[in-house]
Amino acid sequence: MAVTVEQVPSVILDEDYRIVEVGPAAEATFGPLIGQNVFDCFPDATGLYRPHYENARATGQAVEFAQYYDGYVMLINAEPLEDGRLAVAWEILGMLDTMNLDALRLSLGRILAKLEGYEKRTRMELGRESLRLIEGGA
Amino acid sequence: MTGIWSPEPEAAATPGGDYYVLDAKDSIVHASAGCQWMRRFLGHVVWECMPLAEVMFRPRFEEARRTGHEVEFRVLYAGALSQIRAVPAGSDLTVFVTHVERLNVRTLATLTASLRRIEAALETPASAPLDLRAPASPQALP
Repeated sequence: MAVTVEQVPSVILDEDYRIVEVGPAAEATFGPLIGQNVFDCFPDATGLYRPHYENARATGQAVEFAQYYDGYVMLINAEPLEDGRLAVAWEILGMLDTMNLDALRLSLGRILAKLEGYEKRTRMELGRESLRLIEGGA
Repeated sequence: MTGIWSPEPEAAATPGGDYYVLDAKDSIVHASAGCQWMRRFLGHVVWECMPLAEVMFRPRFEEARRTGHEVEFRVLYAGALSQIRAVPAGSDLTVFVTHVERLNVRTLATLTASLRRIEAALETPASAPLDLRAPASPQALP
């Protein structure tokens, strides 16, 4: 039986943030950008994404964060690979609807709620991790 | 709205006097160069090609037809604040569209900044000159 697997969009960045590989689901947008620095292509995304990527590289651990960019709120996973490369995959959680004022108000509210939800979750996870460390050291 | 990871959006909307003309049944009978996308819908009722616009635009268009006077209003639609001027002439209605401010959805900061500009624009009444080329413009009548 044939099974269709819907792939999440993904790219692999080298240590200089050049796009070196593009997953099929991101091909349309990122395919033509292979070899280019992702932040040169999207300069206004630098402050939103790069600190998280730097964190993943510094700790050697995958990071997951929610971010709004270009009309969409996305859950992004950045995982350090060998040779300083970084695998970045994302899932769209919601989008901004600019058709009219009511649609904008509703969709922006949903987007902010999602971002807030993920921030809270992250804070809770950090808190629990701290608690585990304290309890483990006691 | 711009697409995901799309190229840099336009910094600002282009001001101008673009227009389209509707007949008595709200079918598009003419669209100027600036409303080029509407030319694909010539002969179609305008509400078929502008989703959700009917509730915002139609009452004002009907007011213009009913009173015989032009009606001017500003509306946030399809990612832009536009100044609309509906000018009746006979059974036709010429609708002038001027983009005042476009939403910049790139980041939450740019979105907020563009919403502030839109808020300021809504507080400042503006009047765009009529485009004399428009077929149903009073100035174009014989």
